[in-house]
Amino acid sequence: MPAEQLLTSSIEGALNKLLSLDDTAPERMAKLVDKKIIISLSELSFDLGFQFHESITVMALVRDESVIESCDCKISTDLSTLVELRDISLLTKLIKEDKLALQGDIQAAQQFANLLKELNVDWEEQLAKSTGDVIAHNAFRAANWVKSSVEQLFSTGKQVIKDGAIEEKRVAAPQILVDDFVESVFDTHAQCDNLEARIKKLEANQ
Amino acid sequence: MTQQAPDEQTHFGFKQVNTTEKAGMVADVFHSVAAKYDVMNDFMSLGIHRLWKRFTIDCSGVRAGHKVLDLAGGTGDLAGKFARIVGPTGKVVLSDINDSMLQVGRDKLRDKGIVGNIETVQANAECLPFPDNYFDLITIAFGLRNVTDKQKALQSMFRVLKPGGRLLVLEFSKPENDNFAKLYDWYSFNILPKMGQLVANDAESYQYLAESIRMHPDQETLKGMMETAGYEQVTYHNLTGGIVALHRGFKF
Ligand SMILES: C[S@@+](CC[C@H](N)C(=O)[O-])C[C@H]1O[C@@H](n2cnc3c(N)ncnc32)[C@H](O)[C@@H]1O
Repeated sequence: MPAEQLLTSSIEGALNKLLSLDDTAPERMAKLVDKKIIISLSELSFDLGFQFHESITVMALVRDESVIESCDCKISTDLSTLVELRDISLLTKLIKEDKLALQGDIQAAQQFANLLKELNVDWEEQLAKSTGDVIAHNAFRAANWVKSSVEQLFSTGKQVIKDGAIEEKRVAAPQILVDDFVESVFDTHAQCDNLEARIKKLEANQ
Repeated sequence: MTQQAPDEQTHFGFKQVNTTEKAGMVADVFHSVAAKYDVMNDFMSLGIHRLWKRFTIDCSGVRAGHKVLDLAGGTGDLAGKFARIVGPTGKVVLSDINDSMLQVGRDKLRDKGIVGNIETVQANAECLPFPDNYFDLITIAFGLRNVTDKQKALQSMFRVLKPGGRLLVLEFSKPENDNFAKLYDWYSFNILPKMGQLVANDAESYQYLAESIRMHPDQETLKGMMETAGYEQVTYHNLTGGIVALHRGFKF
């Protein structure tokens, strides 16, 4: 089974599906039409080619053949740095730190990053298409309720663990004791300074 | 070029037929399967043919502005993809001997909005109606085994290929592992025609497909044929254990 092609076909399918769900994507995509961007990730033995038209074609390219002349822009980096590129303003910093090499049209890279970053999918509307408005709306209300309950549970949970650690098991000192301890350290430090100054004075008088 | 005497024999699947009859018989097969061709392709290969075709595209080196010939292109899977890659400054010719297959291809491409830089030409691979040194890339996917005189077809493709251009032949081939080959044979001769009967109500055509796969030259033989036709740097890559191989050759 050609595994690379399985990967590129999944990426292509997912990207195009996401773009098709965002009404504003074609406008952003227009700037990229007929451009080709190659992403060369150190973790992969082949390069990924992204060709833009009204949708995106993703190709697995043999590394020697994906030379800069065959594309508008080539980005060579690793996976973790690529994730950082979600914040495109980091581009120059990453290049300076040698974490990323960019050849060709920098604007194309920026437009691609923006295309993905600004993806705006109305998931409720998408669900409504297959289930109807009422079910979708209720499902999203339920999902939001679950989300906020889980978040609340987490923050309450965190507080419970914090309190438990401090008051019940005494694995951590309460804040007031910590403050008191810090103050005592400062006092002792000041007294030491005084003592040192007095000794120096006595030595000088001898 | 190879000359065909009227009483010369060739194979049509496992049958021996007169050389002059084969093209017509192959045409009947593809007239018969045209409407259900795409469904059957997905069904019989479990969708893997799409990955084989993707691999072909990945090896094509095709860029914006290139001229591409998708020969025996049938319903235009490859041609459609190439049309997007070469963009408005490029050109793709979808060519096939069979107008039923081309018609399905034309409709499918139009439905996908792929128009403008693609044209369809009905032609026999053995005598292509294009100028010398014209295309940057020629692909022939699952087509060569149906051609009566394969050597003549390879030479004809060589003529219309630009110097620096490449030919990609994607075709069923010989599985590398013997046990796998037996399993695959059993699938081809027992399951495939039954699937053809069930889905397309046409066991005979799918019996022919199985037989023609078995009769097609293996990897090394086809490589030699390409070299004889003038291609250089000919290499092949086995896919899915050699069920399919992609041969690549250049004209310099
Ligand atoms: C199995 S189909 C392949 C279609 C397409 N390339 C694909 O991969 O899906 C084989 C095609 O070869 C075409 N064909 C057979 N003999 C041919 C010839 N001599 N010249 C051109 N095309 C031919 C048939 O009409 C048919 O459409």
